[in-house]
Amino acid sequence: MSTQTLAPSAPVASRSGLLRTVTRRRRTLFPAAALVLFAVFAWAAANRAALFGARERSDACTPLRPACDAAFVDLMDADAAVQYFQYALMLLPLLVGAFVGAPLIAQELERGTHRLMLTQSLSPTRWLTAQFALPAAVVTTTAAGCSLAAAWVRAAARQTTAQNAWGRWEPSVYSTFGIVPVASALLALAIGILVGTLVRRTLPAMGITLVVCAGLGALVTWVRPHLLPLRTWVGHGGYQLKGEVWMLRDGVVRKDGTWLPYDQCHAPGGCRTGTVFEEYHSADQFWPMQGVESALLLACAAAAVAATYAVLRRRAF
Amino acid sequence: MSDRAEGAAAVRADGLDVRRGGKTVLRGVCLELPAGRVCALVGPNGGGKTTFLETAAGLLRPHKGTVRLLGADPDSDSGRARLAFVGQDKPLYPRLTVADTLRMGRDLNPGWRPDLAARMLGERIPEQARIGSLSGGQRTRVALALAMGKAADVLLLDEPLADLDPLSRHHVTSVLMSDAAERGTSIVMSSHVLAELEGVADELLLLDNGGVRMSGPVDEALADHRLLTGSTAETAPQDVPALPGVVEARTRGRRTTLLVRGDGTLPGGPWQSEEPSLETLLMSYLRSPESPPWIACHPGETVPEATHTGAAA
Amino acid sequence: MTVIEYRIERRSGVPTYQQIVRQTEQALRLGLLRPGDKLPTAREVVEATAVNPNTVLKAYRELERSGLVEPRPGLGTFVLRTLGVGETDSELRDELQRWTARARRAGLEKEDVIALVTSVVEREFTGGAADGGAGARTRKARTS
Repeated sequence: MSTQTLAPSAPVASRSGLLRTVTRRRRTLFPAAALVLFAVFAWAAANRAALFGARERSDACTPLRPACDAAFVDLMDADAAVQYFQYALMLLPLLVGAFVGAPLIAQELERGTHRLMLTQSLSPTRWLTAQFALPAAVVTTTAAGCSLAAAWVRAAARQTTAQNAWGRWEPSVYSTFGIVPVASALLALAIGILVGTLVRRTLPAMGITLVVCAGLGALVTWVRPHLLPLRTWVGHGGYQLKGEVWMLRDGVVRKDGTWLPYDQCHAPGGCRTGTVFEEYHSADQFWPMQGVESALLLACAAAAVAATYAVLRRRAF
Repeated sequence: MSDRAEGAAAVRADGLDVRRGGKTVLRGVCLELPAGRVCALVGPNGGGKTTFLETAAGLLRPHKGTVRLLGADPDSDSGRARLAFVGQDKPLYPRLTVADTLRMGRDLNPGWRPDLAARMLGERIPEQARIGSLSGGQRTRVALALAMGKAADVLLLDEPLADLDPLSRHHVTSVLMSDAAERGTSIVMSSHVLAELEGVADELLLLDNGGVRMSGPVDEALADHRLLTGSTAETAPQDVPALPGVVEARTRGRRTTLLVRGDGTLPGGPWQSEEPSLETLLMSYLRSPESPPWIACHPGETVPEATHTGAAA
Repeated sequence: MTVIEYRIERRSGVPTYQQIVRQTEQALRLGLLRPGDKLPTAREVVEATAVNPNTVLKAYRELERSGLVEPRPGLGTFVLRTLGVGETDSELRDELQRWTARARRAGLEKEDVIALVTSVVEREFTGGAADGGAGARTRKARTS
């Protein structure tokens, strides 16, 4: 259908006017984001204080004394607390999808206010773009802040506890560290908006978004090792790789040249061949992999956004 | 208003089919509502009033055919700038204040007229009150104020008077009519209260079962029909309903009442003839869905069937 | 300075423009409006009565056609002449008075009398209905 316009430039809402409107309408988003950031940094600070305190006490005490055991237990507890902190941060994208994304359009459709907005002097596309843009900016800022908090806590954990437990490749570290958490929060936002636009009712949209985002999270974790080519090392001895590597598979090279992982060495002594293999992602693959994964997540987010525009343009509601 | 296409209809539909949830709600609707008039959109529930208004507002995409507002596609920037729409449920953001809501109207509409919005709002609604705390009638006033402030050329209002008390109803109608008088605004408003339309509407559109049952100026519609009353004994009532031009025949005891088209000369007995009221006329058409539609001829209007492909090209 | 205020009864069944015409005529008969008086502008009537501006204009055209008022461009609509109770009027009135008294003596209720008069008037003025139809058709042509 051709859109024939009689006036060459029809008056449309100004960008600043649109921004003011969306800001006014979503003003609860700012205190909510500030609250989340404050809570996350307060928790991070508490974690660090607990770690350093326990470490100091365990360093100062004489080994094999009850006081020392208590200090060690404290350190373990502080270490566990950091894990909980990271698990909580891993839930952040789910919360963004369900509480920011899903209601965004679903609530408009539920209340019929989209009829109000779509009859003002602005096109559905501009309206949707404005609807997306402000939450996306707030979510990006919040997720980036959380990522920094996670890095801050992890640095303390590495200083105070056994180093290897806090490797960058650990799933709970990897997905709360660097740029991946920002990308997954944006994807969750886009998924929430799309689901809300399709489902048109807030509560069901929130539930479906939770399920979809959790499923996508699991899928990404499963796909992650395959995002970049594996490095292999074959030789004698093993466990000599430099830096923080992500060991995926290791075992022995048998006489016939086939590789047998250690967990399949059923017969005692069956793996005693002297030559071992190791398949891993090297330390220098960390940031490329974060980049590839973020690009993948953002591509999915872009697809969800495009689908939302398509639904709106077809007026399929 | 200056760039309004000369002579273009306020709303023009050509072979309009609109589906909603897989169901065809409007079927082959062809009509032309002249600009600068106040059109009453009436019909039973589910007759297609809301769907028609939402399609004219560019909120629903026609499945077939076209709809034009003053010559412009309602789903275009120029179309949207010319129309204002108030939905049946008067949707507003409950957590915004009245002042915020009007600021939103100013921010989203370059031609915003605060004076028009304020006139519709009246004085008794506190600006700092949240929309959620207002009564239904007050909310309606805010929604209408938002539409008025847009200073649109065509106002599409779905049941604007439904939940207003008599005083507010008078206020709202008077502001709408003043706007029509001052700015020549075209108004299309749906209503269930037929008597409210008397003296307000000068154009009539009756939609029933997804099609047009009546369309044309109110005074022509009234002048084209007569209400005949006669005694059953003198008029052989059993033959009457079959006569051409009889829209509705009702017999009560010894009295037969007919609503007929044309000058009201009917064979068979003496009839007392009078001009029907608008309410009587509409009720008769609503009660007899099988009678043929009444459509006033607007000059330049093409035959509906021929426009299906021609106008869309 | 409004000399006449219209009261519109929407549920009366009487078309709104006729109500305006009748109320103006009534005011002329009662001497509330005199030649030279200015009728309220259409805009004022619309604001006060919430009726369609075209309806008000139609009523004013009707009054103009019957020679009661005259529009002066840029100034407003002014009353031209009054509707006095003439000699014929009072004669007819006396006659009707006598007839009504007779009908009452014959046992007719008020409603019976009104129904009887209405039916006779309707039959007598059926020519007027045809005029109305023709008028509508001329209006139709005007909409071009």
